[in-house]
Amino acid sequence: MPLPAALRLLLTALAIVTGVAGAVFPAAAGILRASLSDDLTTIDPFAFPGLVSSGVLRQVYEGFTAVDAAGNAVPALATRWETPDGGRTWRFALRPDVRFHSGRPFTAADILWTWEHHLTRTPQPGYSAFYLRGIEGAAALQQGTAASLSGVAIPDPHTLVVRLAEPDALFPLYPFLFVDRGMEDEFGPAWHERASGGTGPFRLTSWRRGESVRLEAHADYWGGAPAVEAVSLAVLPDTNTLLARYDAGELDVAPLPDNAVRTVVRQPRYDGQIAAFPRAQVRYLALNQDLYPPFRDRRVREAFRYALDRVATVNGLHAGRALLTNGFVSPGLGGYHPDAVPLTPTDPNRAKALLAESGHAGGRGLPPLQIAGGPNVREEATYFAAQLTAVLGIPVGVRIQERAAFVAAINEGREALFINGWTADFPDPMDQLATQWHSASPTNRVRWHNPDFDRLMERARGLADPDARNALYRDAEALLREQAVAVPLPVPQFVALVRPGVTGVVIRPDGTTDYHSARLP
Amino acid sequence: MTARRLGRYGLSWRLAWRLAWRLARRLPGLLLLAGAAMLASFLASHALPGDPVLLMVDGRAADPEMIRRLREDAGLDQPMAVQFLSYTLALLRGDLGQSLRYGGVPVTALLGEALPVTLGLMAGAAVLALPLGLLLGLAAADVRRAWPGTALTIGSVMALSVPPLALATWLMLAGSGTAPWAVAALALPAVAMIARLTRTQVMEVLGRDFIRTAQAKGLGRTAVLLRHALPNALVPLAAAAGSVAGTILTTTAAVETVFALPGVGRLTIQAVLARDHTVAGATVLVFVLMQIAISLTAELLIGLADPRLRDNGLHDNGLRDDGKPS
Repeated sequence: MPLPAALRLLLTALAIVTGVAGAVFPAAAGILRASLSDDLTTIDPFAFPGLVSSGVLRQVYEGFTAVDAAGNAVPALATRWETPDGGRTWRFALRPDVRFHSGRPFTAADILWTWEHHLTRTPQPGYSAFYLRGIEGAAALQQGTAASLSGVAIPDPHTLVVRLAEPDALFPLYPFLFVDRGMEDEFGPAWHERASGGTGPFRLTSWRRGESVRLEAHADYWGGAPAVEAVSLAVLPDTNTLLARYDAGELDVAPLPDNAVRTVVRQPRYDGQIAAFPRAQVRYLALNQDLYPPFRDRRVREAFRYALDRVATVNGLHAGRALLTNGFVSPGLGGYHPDAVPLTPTDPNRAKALLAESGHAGGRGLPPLQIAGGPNVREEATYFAAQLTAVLGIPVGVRIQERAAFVAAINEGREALFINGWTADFPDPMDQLATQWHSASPTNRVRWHNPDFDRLMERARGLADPDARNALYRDAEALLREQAVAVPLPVPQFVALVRPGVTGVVIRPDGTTDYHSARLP
Repeated sequence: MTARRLGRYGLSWRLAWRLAWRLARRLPGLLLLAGAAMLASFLASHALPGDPVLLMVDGRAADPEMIRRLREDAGLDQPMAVQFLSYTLALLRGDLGQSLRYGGVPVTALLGEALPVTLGLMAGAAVLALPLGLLLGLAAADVRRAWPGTALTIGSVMALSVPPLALATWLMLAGSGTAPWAVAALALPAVAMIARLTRTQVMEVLGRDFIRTAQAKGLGRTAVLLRHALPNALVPLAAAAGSVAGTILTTTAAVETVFALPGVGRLTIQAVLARDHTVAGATVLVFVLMQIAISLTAELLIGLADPRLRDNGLHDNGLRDDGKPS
């Protein structure tokens, strides 16, 4: 696979020596050229994909529902889903006339096969295994004490009934990837390296590790064939390389890393080529009460919130392409509308007064702190640290760590003050509220525990009616706000450079770039 | 004539034997060096904070049970000593293990994909650097004018002083990230090294008596340079081939990263960042083996190029730092 690259380099050298100009690879008709911020980790829909892999695989494989550009759940392979008993049993009406990339029809049997395979495959558990454990009989199948998944029934090829051990209102929203059950018989266990086994708008036709991915249009896609023949995705983790390739006309779409947005959007040469999309993410300055006892006093936590000028960072750091709210859920996620609460203003005097009330006037008696974060928040952390020091009188430094080290530190609860974020995996506020703040969540990195909040989450999981659920989510958000558990920070939009004349490229709120409606000039 | 040619063949055989014997004598030490380098990089990768499984599932809802199983499958739940031992035993069996980041893909498969890219890049750089370096070096060895030598000195100091990553970035931006510029970025420091060395050697040779004899016979400047000065300068150049190739090799990681080329250098950096321990260890081994191959080849070249060595056997200490035979 990489041999052509090696030969190209050698030929290039020979071309230079012999005075022939090196070729720039021109655009081919009908092929959209875009980039990925990192290499894929796998193209096996059963393995655990990293974020970038997951974004690509969602062009190729689909689940019951998808996410639209506004963050709502919309029908994908299921046209309807209903529950007669508050989320314990789910009956899915599947879309008829859907064809896999192989040409085989998609039926309920493919879903059952996908799930059973997911639970029994070795050696690694796949990503969806996490969402399947609620199905009756999943544990027995996984442990080998049952031969099939007893909680699934197939009354007819286009109807699937799932019984769960506990009510779960979110089951239809989970990011499943349904696979053509004929693939393994036809191509063997490593089928995904030889063929594409989904129903999505694109077939995955090649992956050159570390170099590129190629997607080709699925002409029989149920939502209509894509307008482009293919999408070629170059793996370009380095921002300078990405911009150089875009400037050279080698890319039609270049999604930008967050920390490059500010400099790029201010360059006049990119006028009219910048597209921004909302991101289903929450970001906050986390205050770990276990590690830093003064944070147990709400007045200290509130003082931190009043001390920071977060509005300044929207323009200063994100060039205006960020959303600052006073909440802990992305507005619009799964149709959620937060209470209209005005933003907490920056009020240094109030911050100082609150600190004095807590017995720490001028920061007296407060141990030094450091704002921890990954490399992408260096400027933000530096700015906030300077503000906290100036307003509150607490010595606040900055500890920027390489991403792996930072993730390890916050997972182990070793940071008292840090910048954290969470992008929703599926379109429901539960994924931003419970993952971050429920006592039992492994990703509750702030270590905040509140039984009332936990109960709200558990009740919401059993409410199939989205409106009723959202009411509980609003209560939960109000509780987080009232308790000042953390300081909400601006959420940058997804920003991409798009060549003039290229239309229809959408970055969905979950970060998946959707090329289905993309058109070339 | 015939006798002399036979004698020459005899010499070649003797030299080949000497080289083979020398290699056999050094092989255990080289293997030990390679193994030590690999294990050191494996340990260094483990010593860094950060967990490959947590990195893999970063930003995703992952339940602790799944994390536990992923870790178990990768053997990360074992004590460090056990992991170290099983890794070493696997190495001795010739098993480089599997990549965790790429979900169990054999490391050999990753190396098989990345190695041709790096070798292609290095070969391209060598093809470009050798003639260009020799040409510039010869041009700058002009004793009648000072400016070519000065220009070469300034240029080569710049090419060799700028950190490879910065140089590669600069050339990448200048050339819009296209492949020719990647080769140029890798070749440039090598060109500077070869040119400087050529100039020094040629100027040294030009001061010798036999050159004056050649000039007295009425040979033109170009003929003197090409027929007499250059062949005599080639021996020390061959001796320096190791360090030139070494420079090219160590620059590949920067060039591959900046130009987004999927070679061994970039694979190493990605593996370290993802704490993909097995891949990090194996890629370091590849670099060590390549470096060893380069120095052995350089010794072979010296042996072939230097008649004194052909007669007296190879010097035991290999190369001296100044690139001259000891």
